[in-house]
Amino acid sequence: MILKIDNLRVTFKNGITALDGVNFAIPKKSFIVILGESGSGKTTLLKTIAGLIDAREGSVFINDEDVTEIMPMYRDVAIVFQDFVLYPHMTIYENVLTGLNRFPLSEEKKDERVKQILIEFGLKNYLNFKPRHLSDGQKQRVAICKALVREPSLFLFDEPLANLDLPQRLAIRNELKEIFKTHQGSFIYVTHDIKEAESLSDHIIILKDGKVVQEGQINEIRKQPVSLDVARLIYGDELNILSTREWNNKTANNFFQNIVSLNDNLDSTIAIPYRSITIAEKGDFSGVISKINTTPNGVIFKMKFKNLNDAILQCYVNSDDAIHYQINDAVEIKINTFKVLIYKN
Amino acid sequence: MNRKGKSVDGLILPVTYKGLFKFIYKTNFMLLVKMSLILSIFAFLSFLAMGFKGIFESSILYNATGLSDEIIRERLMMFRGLYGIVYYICLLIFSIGLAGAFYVMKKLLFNEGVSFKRDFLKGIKNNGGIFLAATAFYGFIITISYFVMNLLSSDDLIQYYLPVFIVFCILSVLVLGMYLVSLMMVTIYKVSFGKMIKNALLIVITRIPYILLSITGSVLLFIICYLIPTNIALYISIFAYAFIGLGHSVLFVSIIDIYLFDELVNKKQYPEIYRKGLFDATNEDITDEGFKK
Repeated sequence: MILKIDNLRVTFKNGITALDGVNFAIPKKSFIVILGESGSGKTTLLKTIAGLIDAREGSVFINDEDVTEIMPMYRDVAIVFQDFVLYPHMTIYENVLTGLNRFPLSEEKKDERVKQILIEFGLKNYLNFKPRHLSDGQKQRVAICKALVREPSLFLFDEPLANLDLPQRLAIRNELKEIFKTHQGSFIYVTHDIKEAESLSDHIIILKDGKVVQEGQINEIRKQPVSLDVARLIYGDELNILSTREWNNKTANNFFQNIVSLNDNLDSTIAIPYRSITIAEKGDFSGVISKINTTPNGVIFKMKFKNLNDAILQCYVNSDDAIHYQINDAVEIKINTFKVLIYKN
Repeated sequence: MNRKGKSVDGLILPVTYKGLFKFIYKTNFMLLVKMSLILSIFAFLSFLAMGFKGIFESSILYNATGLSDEIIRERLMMFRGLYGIVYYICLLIFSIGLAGAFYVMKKLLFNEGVSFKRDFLKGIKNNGGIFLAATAFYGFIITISYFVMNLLSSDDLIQYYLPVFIVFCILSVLVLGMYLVSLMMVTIYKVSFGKMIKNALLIVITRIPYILLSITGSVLLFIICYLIPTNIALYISIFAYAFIGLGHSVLFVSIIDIYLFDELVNKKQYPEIYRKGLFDATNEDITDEGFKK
């Protein structure tokens, strides 16, 4: 195992428990994404692994060695933060070179390694530039190079692309995936964005209130999120949330009770992913389109259903089909019941 | 070949040497300042010698009351002869710093990563010896010529002074040009001492306009400082050189030298370093954004 976290607890001076008994292990040469909302303890976890925050309880093992009491500089770890930590008075080359300070390599080898990594990240023309001359994307590339240049066993990325625009995020994500293939180390990438998570890795760990609430392949978790919060996170808030208490008519009762009864609970919350609803000629419910939203991921119809107690449901519609519809048009929808998620209230 | 410049934060990635010169000023001005300040430590004795030359000459003239013109001239000649030797030694010391500065400049112009302290020391370690030898050789020629000219300033030989002065000026330009070409040559290539002199002579003879430009753009102020007697202008010049002039000179000379090497040598013999520091849009990395968003 490259990393093993054993019952890790971190409490801040103000009494807030940031990590509460975190346990997980990561095999060598893995790319793991830790997904969680703001304040879930993601950054604290990374900082504790890197040794920047002391654990109150528990242990951190890197390469099967207990490093809990070891100083950050002696851990075989590099960390990249959301804000590019670069020296403004140094050139790009010098900034990356500082990543090799006190590293047991000859000057020639250091020089070679720094240039190589900068070339891999498309920065060969900017070796003698100062950070102020670069775009935010390029600055973050430099910060990543600075971490990668040491070639540690474990790379920690704390939402490094959060401050960048979409094209730069996409470009750097692809570069990271390429770098992961060519380097020997394992990557732990922290984010709150499910799209970013699934574009980088299949395996995720979900953190909530300082605890690991679910872990595994994204598709597996998507089938059975352990809670509504996890469902929201894993579907990126693209969920229609209904309470079984709210509907009060025959059609709805018949339809939903078939599902709910399987779970033996009539007082439940039902979560229907946008993508499990489709427009059909003859569907399960009839409604009226109240809004049409065109998003980077597709066209979203917002619909109101009178026979579902005026419930609002949203779904994705193929852009070619969407052009045939207008606001206030009547539509029928089908719901893929296998993808409907039910949680006890 | 696509020679279109590329904008980076309002800067154009250089595709010509003229562009490169401006580019270095815009992106690495502080490196030039740093280089000047470090070089001025090595040039400290030279600056001191220049600064005190006028004072000593004035002192000789001030204490000459009652002495014949011939004795005064003899004393001045002796002082200037001694000054030539002192200045020669000062130049040798300065050349050690130049070895570091030229190495840093080569890396900067070739778009190789520069770590100033590391590369400055490496330049001294790698090229200090040959820089000393080149300075000793070219400096010796100039010092001897200066001695000869100094001797001709005596009353008996004064009629030869003007033609010899003209020869001295031409020789100085030639030797200075060869010296400046040699410094960059030994920084980039591995050449023997003999080949260095031969190649430098060939380049200077065949490309004299560029050599004149190189001298004018780099060491003209230095020569003026050398020639003008002690006054406020001299001290201002020395201060300007210590702050930015030395770095500027190294940059100016290096760019012209690299251009000449490109045209005369690299294009055919060393294509791998031909136009090395210039941006080539055809080799652009696909991940290279190239401009600030």
